[in-house]
Amino acid sequence: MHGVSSYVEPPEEDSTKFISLAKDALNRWKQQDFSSEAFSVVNRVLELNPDEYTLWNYHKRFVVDKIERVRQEDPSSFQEVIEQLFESEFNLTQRALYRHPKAYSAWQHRIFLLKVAKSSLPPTIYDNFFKRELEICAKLLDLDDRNFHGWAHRMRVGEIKGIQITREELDFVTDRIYANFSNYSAWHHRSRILPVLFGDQPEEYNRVIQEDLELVKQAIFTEPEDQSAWFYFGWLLRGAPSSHAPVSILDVDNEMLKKELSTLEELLVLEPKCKYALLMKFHLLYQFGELGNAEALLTQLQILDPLRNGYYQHLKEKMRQKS
Amino acid sequence: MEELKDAYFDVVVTKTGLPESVLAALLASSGKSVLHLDSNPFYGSDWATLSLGKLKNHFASCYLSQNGATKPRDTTTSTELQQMILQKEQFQQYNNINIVPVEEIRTFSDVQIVDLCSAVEDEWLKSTLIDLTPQIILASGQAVDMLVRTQASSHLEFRGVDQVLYLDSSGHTERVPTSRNDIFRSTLLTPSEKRLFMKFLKTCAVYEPSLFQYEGRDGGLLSAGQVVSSNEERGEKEQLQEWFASVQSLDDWLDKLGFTDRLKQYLFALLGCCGERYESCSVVHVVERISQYCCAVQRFRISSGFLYCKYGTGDICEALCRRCAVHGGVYILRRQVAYLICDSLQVIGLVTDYGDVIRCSGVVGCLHYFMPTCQIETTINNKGMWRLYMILDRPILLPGKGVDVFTTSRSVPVHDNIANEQSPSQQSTCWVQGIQIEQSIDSSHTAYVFYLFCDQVEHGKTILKKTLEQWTNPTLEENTSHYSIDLMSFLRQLPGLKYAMLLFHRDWEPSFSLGHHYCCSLTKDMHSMQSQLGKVYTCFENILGDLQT
Repeated sequence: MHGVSSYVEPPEEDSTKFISLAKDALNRWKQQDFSSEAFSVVNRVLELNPDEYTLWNYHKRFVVDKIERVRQEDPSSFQEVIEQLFESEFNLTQRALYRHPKAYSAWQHRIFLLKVAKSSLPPTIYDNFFKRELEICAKLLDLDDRNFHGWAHRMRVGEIKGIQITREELDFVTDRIYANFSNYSAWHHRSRILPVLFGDQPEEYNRVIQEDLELVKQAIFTEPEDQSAWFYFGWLLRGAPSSHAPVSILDVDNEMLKKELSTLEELLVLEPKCKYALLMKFHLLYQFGELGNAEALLTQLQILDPLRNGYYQHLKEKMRQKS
Repeated sequence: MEELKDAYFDVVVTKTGLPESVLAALLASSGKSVLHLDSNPFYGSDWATLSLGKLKNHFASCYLSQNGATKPRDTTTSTELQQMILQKEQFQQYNNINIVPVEEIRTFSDVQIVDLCSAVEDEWLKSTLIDLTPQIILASGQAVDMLVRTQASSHLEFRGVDQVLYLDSSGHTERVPTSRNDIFRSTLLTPSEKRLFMKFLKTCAVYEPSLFQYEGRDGGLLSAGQVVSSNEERGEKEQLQEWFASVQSLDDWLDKLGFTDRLKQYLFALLGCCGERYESCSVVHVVERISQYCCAVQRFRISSGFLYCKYGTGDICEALCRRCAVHGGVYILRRQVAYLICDSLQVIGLVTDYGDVIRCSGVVGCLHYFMPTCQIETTINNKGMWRLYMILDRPILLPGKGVDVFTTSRSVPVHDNIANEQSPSQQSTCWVQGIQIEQSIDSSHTAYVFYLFCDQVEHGKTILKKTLEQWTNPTLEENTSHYSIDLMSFLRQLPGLKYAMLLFHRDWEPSFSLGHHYCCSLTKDMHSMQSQLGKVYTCFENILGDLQT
């Protein structure tokens, strides 16, 4: 999260002890030792440091093997045993994530479990798993709105399940934006969903884009220093292109751009020093071909924002080359 | 009680209202011995929180019955008393002893009640809590500091206020945006207004440097994790200096900033809840208050920034009394002062209505003296507040979840015949404040308690009625309200009303007081605890000063 340090609890064991534990665990993996003693050692190491990817592989191997074994040896109690297995695996990842909410490998293991569940368990059970995943994502986002892992997980879960993105998803994103609009991930998620939802209905899409422009306008005016809204605004002005399609779905006409230009001017009256507004205005003027004014803006920006002098200089040169 | 005879206390406090309880707690924790009396069988006196059943009993016995004045239980005559006191060892050193009969000030009057509970409803309504003086306090500020300092906060639970509402003159109720998200979501403000308001709040916030100790939480003014860069901060500080340098009237200043009417209304609503009145505000005041307010919004995840004590102000009084008792204070209920013992106009002791003679160095309380020789009159100034308490089974202010606070100003013609509205000679503004609280009695019943206060003495009842009318029948225009129906009849027709009580609370100031007798009375606005705690501290300093000599 920008500007806030992520706090990780210091491990209870000191580093030498941890190293010896880790070595022990890795050895057991080499020897394919799946006894319960080995298990506890591996789990301990994972709880302390979920980034130890090899040990997650240990678990993956264990899960796959166990499923095979039970299916062959004792098919009647398959469901119960496997359910228990999954419960314990999920619990392990949960414990690990609780302490280190940004550990990629732990999230990855959950995805793996979901994939395996989908292929080997009856639908009722894995439906529950999916529901729970979405709930967990929602809770995670409650705690920390900008945790992109939560958003990414949501999307991957959706992909695995094979569900289509629905209105519900859009409502969820809108809720989160209303809760806190300086939220890059929520805006980004929105930009991913909208093309998929409305890709085939251009008029509907147009209407939704207009609404979104209004929404973003509120955000920009309330907090012109907040970059996340500006990024989304830029995306809308480019025609809300989907990341998959190379050409924008929406035909951006000058009408709409002129309207947005007047919005920017309105903001600049109140906040003449807002650099994002000036930069956006520059892009629009460049689009319209008013190169003289555009260059004046860049000069203004160079004075206001000396840290990015190089970038503005580069834009100037690029513009001069084109003309 | 036998133990009280021949007792000595540093300070005797009468009545366990809020200022008195604060004083008791502060004095006891400073090491003074405190005796705290109250004539009621409950704590809090005028600031108490009572269940409906107890409230009905209390008002029936004290205010509605015709036998008003309390007579001292003890039948000893005052001359006999004087003799008895002179013989006591503690009073031997004094030559000139006077016995002054006293009576506690009755501040509530003109009580009228509408009781529409059926027998069945009575059962569950009985336990609805009614706060005689509901208080909202800012989440950071003097009131909270006092509660933490006296450790009373460990006995208390608070709820956040959910909405601050503003009622404009045409009867529309608007929610005042108090945080960044509110401003973002508001559909009534134009984008430029939003920018202006945000900038104003943020610039005021910089005035209070402790704001940046708190992590910005969503709902606060800073976006999550945002640290204001030094450039911005400097810019805002310069802005503040510019504001202070230009000393102007409040209206001019706001116009210069570009505030529209709606923004001004929101600002006044916020200031009103913090205890500032528009007429008496200067630019510096406004910035200070708003900066304090921004601190409060940042502190907890309560976007309105105000707290309400879950069990009412009476609970706060009880908690303070508990702290006093922990430090050695003695508490006796159902006891009051009958006489003050004075040595040439300085209080040196008192006699209770049970005949206890107590030697003390100071008495705190609002007492009415009967001293025919000195012609002392306690002036009852012409200030007070009309207070309406209602219990309903449905909310008046929607959506009616939790605690809603509202404030509004009404202009009222003065020196005018009420029936003749054609010539409003002068207009004065008065404030109407109120709180609506959703109380869930048990799993199946919810009661809505509604408080409405107006500080205009003459036309208070009419104003209250008009305000209520605007909510229940919003199409009614201000001028066409029916004068023929009075407030009580109107209440009887109000849908959903179960119980209503109207009374008048008179502000009281002593014109003279005896030495070592301290009176600390606060006005009973809903923000008094927040805005007038300074008076209590001054009184405390005085008492300590006198006790030292």
